[in-house]
Amino acid sequence: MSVQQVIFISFALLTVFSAIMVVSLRNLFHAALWLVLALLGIASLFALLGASFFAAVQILVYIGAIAILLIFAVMLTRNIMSDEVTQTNRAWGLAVLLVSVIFFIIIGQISSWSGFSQPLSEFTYTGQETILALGKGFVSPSGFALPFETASVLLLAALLGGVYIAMDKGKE
Amino acid sequence: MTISKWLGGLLSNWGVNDSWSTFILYLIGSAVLGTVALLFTLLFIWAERKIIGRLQDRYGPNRVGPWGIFQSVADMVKIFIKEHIIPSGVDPGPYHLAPIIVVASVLMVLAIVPLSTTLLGSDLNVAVLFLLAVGGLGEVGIIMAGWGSNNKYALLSAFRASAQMISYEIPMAIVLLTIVILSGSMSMNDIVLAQDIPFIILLPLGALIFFIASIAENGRAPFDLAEAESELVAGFNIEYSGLKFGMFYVADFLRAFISAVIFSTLFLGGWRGPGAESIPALGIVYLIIKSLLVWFLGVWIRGSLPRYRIDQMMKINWKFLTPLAILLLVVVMLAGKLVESAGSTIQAFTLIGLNLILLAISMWILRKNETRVEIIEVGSRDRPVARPDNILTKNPRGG
Repeated sequence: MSVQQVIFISFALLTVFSAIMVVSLRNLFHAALWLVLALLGIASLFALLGASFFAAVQILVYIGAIAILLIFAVMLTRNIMSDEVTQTNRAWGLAVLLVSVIFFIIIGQISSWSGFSQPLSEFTYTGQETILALGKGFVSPSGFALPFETASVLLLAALLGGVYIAMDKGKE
Repeated sequence: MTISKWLGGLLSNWGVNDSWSTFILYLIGSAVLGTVALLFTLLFIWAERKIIGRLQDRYGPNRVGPWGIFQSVADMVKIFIKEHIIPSGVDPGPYHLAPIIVVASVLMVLAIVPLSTTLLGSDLNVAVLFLLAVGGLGEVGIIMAGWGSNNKYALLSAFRASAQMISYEIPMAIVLLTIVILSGSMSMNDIVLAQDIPFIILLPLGALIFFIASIAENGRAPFDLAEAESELVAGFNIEYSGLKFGMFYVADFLRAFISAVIFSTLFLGGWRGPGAESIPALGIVYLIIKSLLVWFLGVWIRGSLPRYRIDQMMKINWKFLTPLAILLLVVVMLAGKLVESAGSTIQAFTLIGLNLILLAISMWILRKNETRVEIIEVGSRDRPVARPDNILTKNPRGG
């Protein structure tokens, strides 16, 4: 077994295990910390694939910003830290059924795709070219310019909405 | 390089295949780098205490060894043999992991710093992003420490520290973006190679913003709100004792030096200097000299300025540094495109000019809005000062 495989298997197991811990723990703060670990595992999988940009952004955005925000929210929410809250409601059986059906449908669909059993080809880009290619893909009209711009408008709208909600409207 | 070749040859002789031997070599390399950095910290702690002592008219450590140089060794031994107290009610997982994560997040930055032409840990093509991402890991560590300690002072301090770190990451990231625009690359090595003229000359304003933001990111005076003794007792590490406290302490001092290394890599040309291309070992020397200068500036500021209030700290960031950094980014972008064809000399002069104009305008706005506070002078201006003839002299009463 090559070292890549060993690293991949250990990180994949770690990611899956911490993802399970996120949904099964009672203590919300611990769940948030396990979420950090799960996201870190995903970042390392990106790094193993040679997608260093995605690995760095995964850590920067999901751990540096979102997970910290989540932890703040958990810590500042009253009574949410008690362990008495049940984690499931009455619909859990139905949810399990639906999720497993959808899972098998997706797997069935993907496995019939021709690219499924094909091993990944070696990355042809080196160094900065990877990021240049990514950036060009985002902004070139033949690439993903429209979804990219739409997403940025959406984020701007969310930002403005946040400012509006936080604004002190009491002073007339 | 030759050592790594020799070791690689040795491993392949033992029948280790190639991918494993690369893995083992990287493991050894990171272990060496981490250990050396941690050992250097002992010296930095001593030097910083000594310098701050001199700045505050004291002798500083002066008992163990010549000029007290072994003080930190003695402190280290003391910390090792101290009783390890775990307060009741801590959250064991976060409590025990936090110091390790904090130290690791500091050490991980070293992996991307090019030490000389040939010697660098990893030429990551997204090193600039990695730098910011690792800072985020440090925040997680601090929050874990604050939460796990089961102490309201620790928690408040962790809130403060992480709010500060998240806020000051923004101007830092924007200045890093301008550097990426100038050098055309996100890899640290390319950034160093692009600095035929050091970026501190091209981007004096950017360097200033980055320096202030990195002091705040390190949580040192005048931004050491997270350990304001008068308000929060001792900060997020209040419930830690013995070795775990030592790890926070080491992380603090090491971070100060590593951010100086990053600053000199980004703005002062890193390992570049006369003769550094042909003799790689000189590169390390240049890098260390430049970093020590920046580090000394940080210590100097730490020893001289009083602490900001939390609202002032937030104002400096959100109302001054961030808008200024965004403005700088836009200006550099536009200027870079407009005079792109004019040749590198004119480009450099435009950049310097624009930077200085921006700096002057922002200073003028600050001056206009400043409110003067009357300070009543207490006592007289003449005061007795301890004046050692030579800062390194030993005298019988110590020092």
